[in-house]
Amino acid sequence: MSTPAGTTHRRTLRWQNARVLAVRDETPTARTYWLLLPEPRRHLAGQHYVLRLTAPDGYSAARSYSVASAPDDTGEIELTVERLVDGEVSEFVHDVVVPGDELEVRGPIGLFFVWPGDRPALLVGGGSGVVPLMAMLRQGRRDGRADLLRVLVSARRPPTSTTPTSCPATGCGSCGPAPRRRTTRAARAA
Amino acid sequence: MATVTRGFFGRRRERDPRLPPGQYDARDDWPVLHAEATPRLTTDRWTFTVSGLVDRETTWTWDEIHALPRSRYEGDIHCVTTWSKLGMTFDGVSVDTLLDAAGVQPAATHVVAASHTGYTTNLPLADVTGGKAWVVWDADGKPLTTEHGGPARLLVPHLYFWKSAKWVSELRLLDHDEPGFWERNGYHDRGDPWKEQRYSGD
Repeated sequence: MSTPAGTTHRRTLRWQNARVLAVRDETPTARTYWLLLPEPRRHLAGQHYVLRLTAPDGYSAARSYSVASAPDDTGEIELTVERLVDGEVSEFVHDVVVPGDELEVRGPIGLFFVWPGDRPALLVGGGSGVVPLMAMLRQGRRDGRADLLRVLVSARRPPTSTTPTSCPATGCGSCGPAPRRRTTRAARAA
Repeated sequence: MATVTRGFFGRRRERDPRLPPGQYDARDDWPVLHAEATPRLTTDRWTFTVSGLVDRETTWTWDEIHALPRSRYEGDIHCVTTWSKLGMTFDGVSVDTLLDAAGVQPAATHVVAASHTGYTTNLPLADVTGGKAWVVWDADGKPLTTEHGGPARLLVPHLYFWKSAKWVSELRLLDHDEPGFWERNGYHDRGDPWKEQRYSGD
């Protein structure tokens, strides 16, 4: 499942200060942060970064967030962060972080839960678990290989006007690049 | 050196000294994260084996392992995904008891813990001997649920919890280190939470 592109090097584990280029709402509780990495390393769809917040007295809190964007060589990634009730990191990121801020991150990390882009896959996810699946779906669409993927998504609430069309949850539970009927059948077969 | 994050002061000023760096207290929550499908294991067919560089490869049934002297761990557990649970109680049998029964050969330096699911994780022998590791079937006084590795899991609480293999089936003693599942997938070979050995290269 691992490929040379996804090999975890020491360099990938170094902390770096990413610049927030833009922020956009995905759902009422999920927001995507578009980051520019000074030391980019191409990720694999499904990998994650660790985001670390540090207070002036040295106290720090770190959490892992999946990359939502397709792998590319732009040096830019998107992390989607779900706001959790009483979430020390996610609430801060939602309430305080704005474009122009710097956020300390390291990655990409994880070689198990990845899609190399060349084989069929059934993607099943719920809530923020959809984020790594979005990276896979975006890669498939960009490369013209979305036919390899079937996506099954579970959501707590029906899609709202704030659910963007790029979100697989738009089909309210079952959708994806293929017609809905085929997706459902693929899910049953699994 | 960490860069100070604009506007961040942190919420929990009273940090529990039992929490290793970068960890938070999950309190009543016990998150479930594993890479494979949750297996259905019944205790009547369950076995646990010590194999490899031992004098006598030994397999215990559920009843046989329960007949061994009991051992309890009271303390904390730490997951690499940054949650910790403090003040837990686990009951089972010490790995020392199991290894003594099988007779460890002098050449053994490492173990691979394997699960009924095929999951593996590697450990230096020194990390599972001397009262540091258990095979446990009760958590906080109740039978370990399937999602937490029941009927029995390995418990190596001084290392990140992916070393505490759920649904453990075997300890294989080796004369060399042999990376397990997560260790081959970018995670640290040893995983000491107090040194934040999370990923390969940390």
